[in-house]
Amino acid sequence: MILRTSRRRAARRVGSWLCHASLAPLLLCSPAAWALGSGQSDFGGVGLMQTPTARMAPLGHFAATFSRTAPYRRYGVFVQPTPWLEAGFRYVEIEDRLYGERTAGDRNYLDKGLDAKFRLLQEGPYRPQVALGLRDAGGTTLFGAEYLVASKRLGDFDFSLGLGWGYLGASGDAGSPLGWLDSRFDERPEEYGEGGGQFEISQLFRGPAALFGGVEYQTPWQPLVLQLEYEGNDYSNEPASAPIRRESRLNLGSRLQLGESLSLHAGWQRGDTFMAGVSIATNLAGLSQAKQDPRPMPLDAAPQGDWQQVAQALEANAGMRVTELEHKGNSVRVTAEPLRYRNLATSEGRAHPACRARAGGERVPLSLGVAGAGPA
Amino acid sequence: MSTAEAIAQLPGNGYHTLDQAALISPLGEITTLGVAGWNRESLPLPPGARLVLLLPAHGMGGTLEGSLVNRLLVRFLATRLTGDVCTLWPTR
Repeated sequence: MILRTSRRRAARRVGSWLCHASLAPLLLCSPAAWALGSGQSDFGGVGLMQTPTARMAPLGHFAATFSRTAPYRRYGVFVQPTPWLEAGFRYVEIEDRLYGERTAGDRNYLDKGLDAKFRLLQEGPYRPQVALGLRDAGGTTLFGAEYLVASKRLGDFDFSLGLGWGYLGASGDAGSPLGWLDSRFDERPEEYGEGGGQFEISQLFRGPAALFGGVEYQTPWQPLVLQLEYEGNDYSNEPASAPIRRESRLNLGSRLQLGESLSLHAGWQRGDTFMAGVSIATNLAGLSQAKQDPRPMPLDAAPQGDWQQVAQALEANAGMRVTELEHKGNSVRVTAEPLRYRNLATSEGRAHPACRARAGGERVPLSLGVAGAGPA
Repeated sequence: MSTAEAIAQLPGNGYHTLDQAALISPLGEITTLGVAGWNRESLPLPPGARLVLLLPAHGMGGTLEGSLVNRLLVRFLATRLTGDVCTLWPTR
């Protein structure tokens, strides 16, 4: 089934398909830029606010995020190197805890964390998307958590439900799901590698777990997404100096997309705390270097004055530094080093008009060699 | 007009079984979009663009013949000008 939009009317109006070039940027923007379930969480990485979802960013996605929920400020950088893996790292600044007066004066404590999320199952018409993830897996694991989460979209709603261990499962209302495998899964060790900075695997999927989840709603106003979240953390085991109260397990939030790159976040968390955040994103797969190459010479360009000028034209237009030009009969053999274009065919295509120009527009077979490798 | 609005204007309920569409820009660039409830995306639909509703993956699109139609039809249309009266600008 093919829809053809106002074909004749459009063709009559603009006269040429090239006029549509001004509309092309509209099509270049990724549809995922506005999609549900693509926002960065407070911790960085695709998710709601405090909790992650099974959603992945588009391939090549890069996001730098900042969020503040007292007493934490979180700075994260996340990338999507493959369609099934999201990875990133984050610094969490704890506002009411000092790094150490002797070493850093009155500077706030900083905790570094590494995250990874693996997509296990892609969403289908009936099955959810499922992902397994580690949060703050290295170092002191102050915010260390593991989770298994599923996401399912229904129209303008994106639901997620997960099971979290560690920081995400501190309320422990799901017991220890892996306890039936081995009793060591019942307890989560508190110690970590000496001095931190080591990958800590002894804690993974151990200790009590809790359910978490939430829903995102795409409002009729495209840039605005509303969020409702159910947390698994009860804030009883926090690295902050002062104890943190949790009035409610439900968090409310919103995300406002400004253009393709900028996203603002705001929310009401723990029933009594305001959250604000911002994330800047781009797609590394879509970046390109701006180039100002000269236009290729027209096929019927005027003849060059002499062979010296041909060599200069080849370097200026085809990016080829000529070491030898051999004119025999009606053919020209050029030995040159390609300096500008990675693709030899591009250099060759640009070189042809320059050489033909010298021969007064006659067709000249061109054989191209690369300096150092000898003529082809 | 957006792709979602164009699909919603189709007569009947046949499109409810669809899951993906391919949007071909006037310049021949192809973007694949979700059009079902679980993967819906939308993009602006400029004059001269073509929208191919792909055979669903859980139906005809899952067969060898169906997947060939899905791929080759889109690629073929992307090489065509957008209308019978369209012409190219002269290059010089």
